Amino acid sequence: MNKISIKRRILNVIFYVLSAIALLLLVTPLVSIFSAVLIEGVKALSWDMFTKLPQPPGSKGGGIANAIQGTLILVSLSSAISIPIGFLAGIFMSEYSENGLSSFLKSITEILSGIPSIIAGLFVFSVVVLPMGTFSALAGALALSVLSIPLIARATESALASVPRDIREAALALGIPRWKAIIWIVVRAASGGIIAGIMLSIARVAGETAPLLFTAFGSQYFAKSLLEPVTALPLVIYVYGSSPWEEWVRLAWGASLLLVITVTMISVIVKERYGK
Amino acid sequence: MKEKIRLEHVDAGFGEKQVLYDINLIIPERKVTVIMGPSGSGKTTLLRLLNRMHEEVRGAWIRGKVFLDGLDIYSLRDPTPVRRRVGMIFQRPNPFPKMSIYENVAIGLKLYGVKDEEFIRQKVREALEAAALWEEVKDELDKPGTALSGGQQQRLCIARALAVEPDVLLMDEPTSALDPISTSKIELLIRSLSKKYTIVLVTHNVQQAARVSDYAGFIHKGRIIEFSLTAEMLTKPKNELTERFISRRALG
Amino acid sequence: MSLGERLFRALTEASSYIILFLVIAIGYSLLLDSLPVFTKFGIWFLFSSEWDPVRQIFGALPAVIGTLETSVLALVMATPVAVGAALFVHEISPAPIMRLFSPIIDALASIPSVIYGLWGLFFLMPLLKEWVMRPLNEALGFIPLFSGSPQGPSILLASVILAIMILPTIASLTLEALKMVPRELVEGALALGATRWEAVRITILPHASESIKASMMLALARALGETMAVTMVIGNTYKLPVSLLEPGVTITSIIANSYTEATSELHISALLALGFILLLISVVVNVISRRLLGRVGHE
Repeated sequence: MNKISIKRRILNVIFYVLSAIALLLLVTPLVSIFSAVLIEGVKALSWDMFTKLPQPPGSKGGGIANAIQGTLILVSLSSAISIPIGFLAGIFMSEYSENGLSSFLKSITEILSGIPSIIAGLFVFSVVVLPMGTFSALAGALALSVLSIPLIARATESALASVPRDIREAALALGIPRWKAIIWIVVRAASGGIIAGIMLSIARVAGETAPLLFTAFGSQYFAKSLLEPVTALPLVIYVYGSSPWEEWVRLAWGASLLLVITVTMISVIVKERYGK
Repeated sequence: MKEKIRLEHVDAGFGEKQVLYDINLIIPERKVTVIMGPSGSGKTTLLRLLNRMHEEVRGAWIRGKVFLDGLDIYSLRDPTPVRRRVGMIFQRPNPFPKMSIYENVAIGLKLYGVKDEEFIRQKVREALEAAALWEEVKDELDKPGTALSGGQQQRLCIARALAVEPDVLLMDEPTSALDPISTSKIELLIRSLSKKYTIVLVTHNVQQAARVSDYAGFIHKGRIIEFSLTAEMLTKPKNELTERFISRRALG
Repeated sequence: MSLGERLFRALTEASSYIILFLVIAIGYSLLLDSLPVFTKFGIWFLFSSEWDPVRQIFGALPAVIGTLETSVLALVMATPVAVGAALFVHEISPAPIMRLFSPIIDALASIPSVIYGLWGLFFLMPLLKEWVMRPLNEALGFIPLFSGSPQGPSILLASVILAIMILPTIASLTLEALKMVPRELVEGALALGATRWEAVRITILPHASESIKASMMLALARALGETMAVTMVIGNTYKLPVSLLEPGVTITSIIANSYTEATSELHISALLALGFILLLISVVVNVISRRLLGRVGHE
C-alpha cells in the first residue's frame, strides 16, 4: 500500500466520521426535546390542569383550562376565516387565472407565507386592536388567519394542479358547467392533498405564539366574548415558562405536552391517510 | 344518408398558428365516420371543434360555421348544451378519480340537476349495458372507477358519456392506450353503438378504420383531402397523398 | 355564463385578491405606523443604539445587528451539520435510516417555536453554559467576542437554538438535491477508484451546491423572523452586541418583549418601525431564495 492511498483512506474515514457526527447532532436535539416535553409534561398532568384556571403566582395547583378553551376558540375562528378564503384563492390560481396572473398570484402567496409570524401580529394590532381599543380573540384569530390563508391557498393550488388536464376535459365534455366540474369533480380528485394542506396549516397555527402577543394578548380567565382578550396554550408556555414560579413552569410543560401531542397527531394522521 | 353535422369553410388554430384550412364536411347520422391522417395533421383539433372543446385551449380560435342538426353551434354563448348532445371519449381512459363506478356514470345526470335517484339508477344500468360493461361490474358498482383494467376503464368512460343521452359520440383514438383484446372489444362496441349514435372516430390506424367505419375522411396538413365511403377510400383512393398514407399504414 | 358560474368565479377571484391585498396592507400599515418615529428621529432611528421608553428615545441599531448576527451565526452552525447529515443519510447509511430521515426532519420542523424556547431555557442553557460558554470564556476571554461573565441567556444560546430550528430546512432541500444527482456520476467515480469522499467532493457537491445555497437563504429568512425561541433565551438587553456570551436583543425579541408595556404612541411606532424593517429584510431574503430555488428546479 503506498503513501497516497493511506492519505486518501484517512480523508475518507474522516468524511464518514464527520458526517455521522452531523447526523447525530441533528437527531440529538429532537430526541432531547421530545423526551423533555414527555417527561416534564407527564409530571405536570393532572385533572386540575384540564379543568381549573391558573392560580396567582406562588400558590399551589391550578390549571390551564382557559388556555385550552382559548386555543380551541382561536383555531376554530381562524379556520372559519382562512379555510374558505385560502381554498377559493387556490381554486382561482389553479383553475381560472391566466398563466401570467396565476404565477404572479402564486409568488404573492409565497411572499405572504414567508412573512415572519410576529409581523402578522403587528399588522392586526395596528389595523384591528388599536381602532377597536382592545385586545381580543377576534384579533388573535385574524392574525393566525394571515398566516394560514397563504398556506391553504398554496396547498389547494398545488393539489389541484396535480389533477390531470384530462379529468377537467372529460368533465367539461359531459356538458357540465365549469364551476360545477371544479367543485364536484376536480376538487374531489384533489381532496386528499387539500385536506392534508388544511390540517397541516391548522397544526402550524395552533403552535404559533408571536402573532398572538399583540392581538389575543392573554388572560387569566375563561373567555366570555370574542371581543375580549383570550389566552392560548402557546401563550401560556411563553409567559409561564419564562416566569420564576415553579408551579407556572410546571403548567408550561403540561401545555407543551398537549401542544406537541396535538401537532404530532395531526401530522401522523395526515401522513397515514394522505401520504404527505 | 342523412346529415348530422356540417362544417362550412372552417378555419381554426391557436394564436398565430393556423391548424385547419377551409374545412367543408358533412357527417352522416347514425354512421361511424373516421377521420384519418398523419400525426399533426389536425385530426384532433377537427374533432374538438364538434363539441366546442376546442375553445378550452388557450388562444384557440375558429372561423366558419359548424352545424349540428342545422343549428350553428358557435352561435350559442354557452357551450354546455352542445356538449350534452355530443359526448367525447379520450385517448387515455380517464374515469373521475375518487368516484365509484356508479358515481362515474351517474355524475353527469346529477350535475345536470336530476334528482330522481330511481331514474338515475336506471340510466346508469342502461349506459353500462350499452357500453358492454354491466355484466362485469354489476356486483361491484361501489368500487373506484380507477380500479378497473384499462379496457374496462375506457368502456366506463363510454358509459359515462352515454348516460347523459347524447346523439353524437366523438372518439379520439380511443384504443391507442389499450391491449389488442380490449381494443377489439371497443371496436365491436363502436359497431353496435352506431345503430343509435352518430360516431366520429379519430385514428391513424387504417385497419381499425376498415373494421369499424362507414365513412372516412383523410386530412393532411389541415386540409380535408378526400372524403368517401371507407371501403371506397381504402380500395380506390382518389388522391395520391391518401394512397400513400393508406399503403404505408396498411403495410406497417 | 350562468349566474352560478359568475358568482363562483367572482368568489374565487376575490379570495385570491385578498392575499394580494394583505401583502400590500401589511407593508402599507407598518410603513404608515412607523412615520412618527421616522419623523422624530429621521434616519438616525436606524443608527442610534439607545432604547428608552421612559425618555421616549428610540434607536434600532442593536436590534437590527442582533437579528443579523444571530441569524448568520445560526446559518454558519447549521449548514455543515445539515449538509453532513444529508450526505451521511444519502451516501453512507443503510436504507432503513434513510427512510427514518424525513419523518425526523418533519418532526423537527413541526415543533412549535415556543417549545424550542422552553427547552432551550431549561435544558440547553445549563448544558451550554457549563460545557461551552464557561470554557470559552476562560480560555479566550481576552477576545471581546468571548468576554464578559457568562450567565446563560446570550447571543450564542439564541444562535444555537436558531441553528437547530433551521436544520430541517437545509437538510430536507439538500437531500432533495442529492437525490437529483445522476447516480451514474457517483458510480462512475467509484468505479474509477475514487473513495466515497472523493466521489462526493467531485461529483455530488458541485451538482448540489446551488440547491444548498438556496436552502441556506430560505433558512436565513426563517431565522431572521423567528421570535419566540429567541426571545426566551437571548436575555433581552438593549445594547450593541460585543460578546457572544452575553445577553443581546433582536428585532423580534424587543417587539415580543414590549407587548405588555407599549402604550405611548411613539413607543408603538418604534416597535412597528422595527417590524417594517424586519418585513423588508425578510421579503428580500425570501424573494432571493425563491429565485434560487426556482433556478435549481424546485417547485
